[in-house]
Amino acid sequence: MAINAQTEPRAGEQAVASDPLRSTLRAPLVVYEFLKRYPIIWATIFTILVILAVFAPVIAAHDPIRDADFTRVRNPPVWLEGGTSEFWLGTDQVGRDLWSRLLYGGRVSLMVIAVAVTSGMIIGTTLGLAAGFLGGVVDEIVMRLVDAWIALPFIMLALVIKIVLGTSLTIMFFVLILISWVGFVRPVRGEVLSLRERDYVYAARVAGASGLRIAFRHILPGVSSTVIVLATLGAGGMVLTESVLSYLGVGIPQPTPTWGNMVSDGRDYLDTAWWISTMPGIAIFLLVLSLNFIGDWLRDRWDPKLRQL
Amino acid sequence: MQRFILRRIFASLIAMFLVTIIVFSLSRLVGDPLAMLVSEGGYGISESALDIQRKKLHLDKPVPLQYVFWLSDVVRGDLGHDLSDGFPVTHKIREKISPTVQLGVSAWLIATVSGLFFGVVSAVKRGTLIDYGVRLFANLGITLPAFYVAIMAILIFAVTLEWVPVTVIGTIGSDDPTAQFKAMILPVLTLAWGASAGYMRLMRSAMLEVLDSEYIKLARAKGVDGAKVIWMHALRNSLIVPITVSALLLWNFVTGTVVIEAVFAWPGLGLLALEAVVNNNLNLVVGTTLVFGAILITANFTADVLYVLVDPRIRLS
Repeated sequence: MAINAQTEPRAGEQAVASDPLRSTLRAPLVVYEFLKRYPIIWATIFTILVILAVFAPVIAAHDPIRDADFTRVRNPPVWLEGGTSEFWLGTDQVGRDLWSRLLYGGRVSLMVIAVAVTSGMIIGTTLGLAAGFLGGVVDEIVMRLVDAWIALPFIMLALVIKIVLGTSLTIMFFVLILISWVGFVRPVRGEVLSLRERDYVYAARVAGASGLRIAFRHILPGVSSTVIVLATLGAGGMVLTESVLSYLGVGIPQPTPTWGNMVSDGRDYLDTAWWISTMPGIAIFLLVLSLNFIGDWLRDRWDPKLRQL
Repeated sequence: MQRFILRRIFASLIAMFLVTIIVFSLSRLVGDPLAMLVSEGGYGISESALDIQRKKLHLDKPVPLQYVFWLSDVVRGDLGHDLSDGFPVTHKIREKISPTVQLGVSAWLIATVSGLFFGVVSAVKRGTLIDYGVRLFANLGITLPAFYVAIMAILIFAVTLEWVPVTVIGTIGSDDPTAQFKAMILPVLTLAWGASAGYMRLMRSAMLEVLDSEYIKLARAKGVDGAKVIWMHALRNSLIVPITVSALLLWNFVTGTVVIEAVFAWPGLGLLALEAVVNNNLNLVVGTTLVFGAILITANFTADVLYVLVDPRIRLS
């Protein structure tokens, strides 16, 4: 991971670099190192994805759902034979513009990040804060809950929920929040345990600050960097989970395009129209990769203790 | 040490208990579970017949009491009946459990062995091509969605190159070991990738930390053989981190198993549950959920025991 790359090279590595053949082979590695060390690239990609999704109604030339046309089913992308510039990424199995659907699908993925990660962050941080700050019974209950929660086969719970409640965007958020909170509790609790013994906290107590005030005004800011790092690293996982659920048909229902159900749409046309599955797959990949790189970078900057996550 | 193990057994039981509570409450969110049997526009069932059913399934009692009845059935191995054909759920699950175990265990073995091994190699050869190769492989493994990898693997190795069959239908459990092996390659390897990637990352950073510590320097200074320092002295200490975090990896692994079963039509528990979802077959899904929960808890418990074996600080305290 990046931290190690930033320390001084060892003797062996210098010897490797001086070998001419090896040094040409190292060219892609230099690029990789560069990508890791300057997350501005990933931040840019992420920003572009956000802009594309937010302005999807303006950018997209076609309706993502109702534009089916059986005269142009499975048109290839523009760079392949038979592709047209009007549908530059090709069309799907019922003739809808893949590019437009990708743009609208991105809205779902980003909304998922925003809602699921933020709610999970609030719930998880509060519980972690309570467990660490109050200790005792509260701590015991919260930690046992976290232990049990990690033993829940979450994917199966999503199936149970699908049967009893059906599928919708709201239910999807509910399902994702069920898992997003749990990752925050333990690290936040650990941080709080050390923060509450600091002198400034004692000083605040002596000055007469109430427990709530100490928890939220004095301790919470101290865990904020940890929380932000966890949220960024968790966001990629949320996008993956959303796409997996949509792929399995227990996520956001058709006809709303999401990157997950778009990959699933193309499952039967792999040999004749690979682009239907591949384009949304690449989109998921770019989004998750940029989130992971940004998260890694933030972690190395702000909170190297979390490296083992 | 015994105290630690006893505490973990106790914690596992509590976890299992909580799993049953959560699953039961979720399954009762629907209101009247019998409403699922009488779908709209379906066969007419008279009110009196419904009442008999309601009595039989204890649905006339308060919900906490329903839970007690349900739990006592579950503990005795009665998970209810399949809502579509009336077969006992336990029977169906028993039939499908061995393909899932076969897939999961082989993938998990490959993932841990390869992940730990290449994590160590990557740390020891830090900054070399091998290191970057391993890190690239690991980063892709945690970034690419499993279903997408599986689909691409089918496209490349089954459809284009025709090395392996597209699905496993008819080969799993058949007498032909070669066909069975060939059909297993793609599902097992795609499933193993994610967990393996997780272990590589954890192992690499843990190993780098350990290699930097005083006792390793001492071993080196004493003149202990380089390979011995790594595989005997350093490995054991750096295993602690991957073992403690394996609960999270297992969590993702279960999701991966269901996804891989769906993509490859692998005839296991995951596929059984997914098919049951299509038919609104609640009992079957609840049953498989409990089985997966039990598997996860057992796996986590095993990780705890391994943790004790690896880390003497716990054993001796």
